[in-house]
Amino acid sequence: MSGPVIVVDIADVKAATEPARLVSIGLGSCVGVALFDSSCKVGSLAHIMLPTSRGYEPVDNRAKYADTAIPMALEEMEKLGASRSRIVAKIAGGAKMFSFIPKDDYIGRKNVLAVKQALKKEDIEIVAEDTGGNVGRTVEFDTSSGTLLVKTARRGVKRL
Amino acid sequence: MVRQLVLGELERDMLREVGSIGASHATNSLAEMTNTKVSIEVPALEIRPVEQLISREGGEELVAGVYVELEGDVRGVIVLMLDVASALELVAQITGAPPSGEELTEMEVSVLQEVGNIMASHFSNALADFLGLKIMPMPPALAVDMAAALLDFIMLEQAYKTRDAILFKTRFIFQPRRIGGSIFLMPDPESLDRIIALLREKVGMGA
Repeated sequence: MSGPVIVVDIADVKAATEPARLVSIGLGSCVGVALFDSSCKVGSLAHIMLPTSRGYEPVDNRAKYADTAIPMALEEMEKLGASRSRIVAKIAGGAKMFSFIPKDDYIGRKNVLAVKQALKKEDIEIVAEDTGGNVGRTVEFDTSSGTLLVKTARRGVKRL
Repeated sequence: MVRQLVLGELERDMLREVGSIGASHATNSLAEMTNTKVSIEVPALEIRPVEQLISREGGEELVAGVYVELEGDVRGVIVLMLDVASALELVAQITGAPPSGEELTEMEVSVLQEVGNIMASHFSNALADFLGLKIMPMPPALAVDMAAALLDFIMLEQAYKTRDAILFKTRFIFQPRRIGGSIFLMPDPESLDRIIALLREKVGMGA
């Protein structure tokens, strides 16, 4: 792993050619979506906050919502030479940090479902996923290898 | 559904005052529980887009967060946040037993939940008295994780309907060991409107 570290803040999308590490810190309900074109080594990371931009028009920031952030990330990658047909996705986040909320009724779950729907709509395959549960995640996406590291505070690191 | 919050200087001052009353009652209760001095910093009132609040207030550091939902005339949430070392020290001060280690034991979790419960009750009672409203704190929930992850969960659950959210934040320092933490109040948008209307009545500005 090498290259510059680029922090992707909440409600932001960043795309980069290799080598770079795209990092989002402390995903709770938020979902990190890493998109990768392995043949030209172009990657992007979206730090998505809410499931849908519906009801929030005019949309102030496309990177904030799943339905607008995914198309935005794809456009950014295409500008760097990526081809939509080769792009695959890895996703992480969408947790329920406190246990009191009824099983299915939390933003994290809605975010994960909306991300999957948005990816399906663009015909992008999800090749790896670490979502849900009740743990915060920091993600680090290496645009040379396409590896997504998912780090937790007390439950170690997963390599997707 | 989406709205932007525009508040005048007078309204901000009044809200800061309300937050300050609540926070001082909460920290006084902490001082009583621990039988020590607890000092507080001037409460901050932040009104910003939710994403800015989250990225400003939280990083990767490990914290213990106690989350108490409010119901009744004011809905929202009160959150007590302590770094883990401070949380362990605080429990030790209350129980008289030394901290167990890096992980919180079941006993330590339940003491912290109770601390959060008592502080939130004092906070919300002070608000309720001042505003003449009925506010009921729900049972506390605790999580230990990255500050940013806890805050993004809490703030998104509370404020996903609005572009801007309002947060009262008060930092407190627990004198003998110099440990510290924060207490947050985040009312939901409708409750904030109600609070502002009541405050305007109080100063004779009408609703």
